[in-house]
Amino acid sequence: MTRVTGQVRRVLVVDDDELLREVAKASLELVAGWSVSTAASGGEAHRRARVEQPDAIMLDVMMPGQDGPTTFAELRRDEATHDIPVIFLTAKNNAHGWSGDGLAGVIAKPFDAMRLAAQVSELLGWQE
Amino acid sequence: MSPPDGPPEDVPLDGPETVAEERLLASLGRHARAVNLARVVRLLELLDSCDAGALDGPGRHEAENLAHQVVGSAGTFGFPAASVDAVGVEEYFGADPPGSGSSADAGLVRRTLDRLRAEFAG
Repeated sequence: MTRVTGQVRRVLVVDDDELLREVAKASLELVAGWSVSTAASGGEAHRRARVEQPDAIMLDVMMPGQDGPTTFAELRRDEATHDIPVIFLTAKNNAHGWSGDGLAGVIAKPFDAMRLAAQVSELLGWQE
Repeated sequence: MSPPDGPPEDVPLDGPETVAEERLLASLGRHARAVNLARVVRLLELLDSCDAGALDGPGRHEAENLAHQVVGSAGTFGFPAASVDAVGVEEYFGADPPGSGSSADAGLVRRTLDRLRAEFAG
């Protein structure tokens, strides 16, 4: 297991699947000691991001209603959120074609809960 | 100073925090298994509707979304093969009408869902 220690980071996890919100939150809080909030939709994610100003957003790509790429574009257009790095979470195998200013990377689903924090740190260049 | 003979046998090398983490994740895994079983059961109902020509647009979207959630979550909770298998189910319901442009037919999707149901039911 990779244990990440150090500064308490604040991460917003966005996924319409409650199971994945729960396991990502539990994993990042327990393994890395980060502070994790969650959102179930793109709209909720944008509202939370404006208020909470997280250090990073993990954003599911395929969600009913407003999908991840649309939410990502909205976050980039908004001055209050455009500097927050975003990591896409996706179960689609064509995910690695995505790019864009502020997109820090892509994590494939299903993911390894015990390694999730290390993957996030690596993508964001966080020295923990 | 380290004990001369290493840690006692009842103390895991990774420490008590790791045990707590793994217990919590195991608990989440049991919950996930039940949720994914319910998703597969619902998918079989939607496939029945599809076979009867009674699956409307919202039903197709529900099925596609449920299959996508199984794809995305099963592997995280210890069922990597189920995640792979459910991709074909997602593709089947992602087409309009279901199955068009997909290599999977309704029979194959039903066999896949029956297998997933058995796997999650344990």
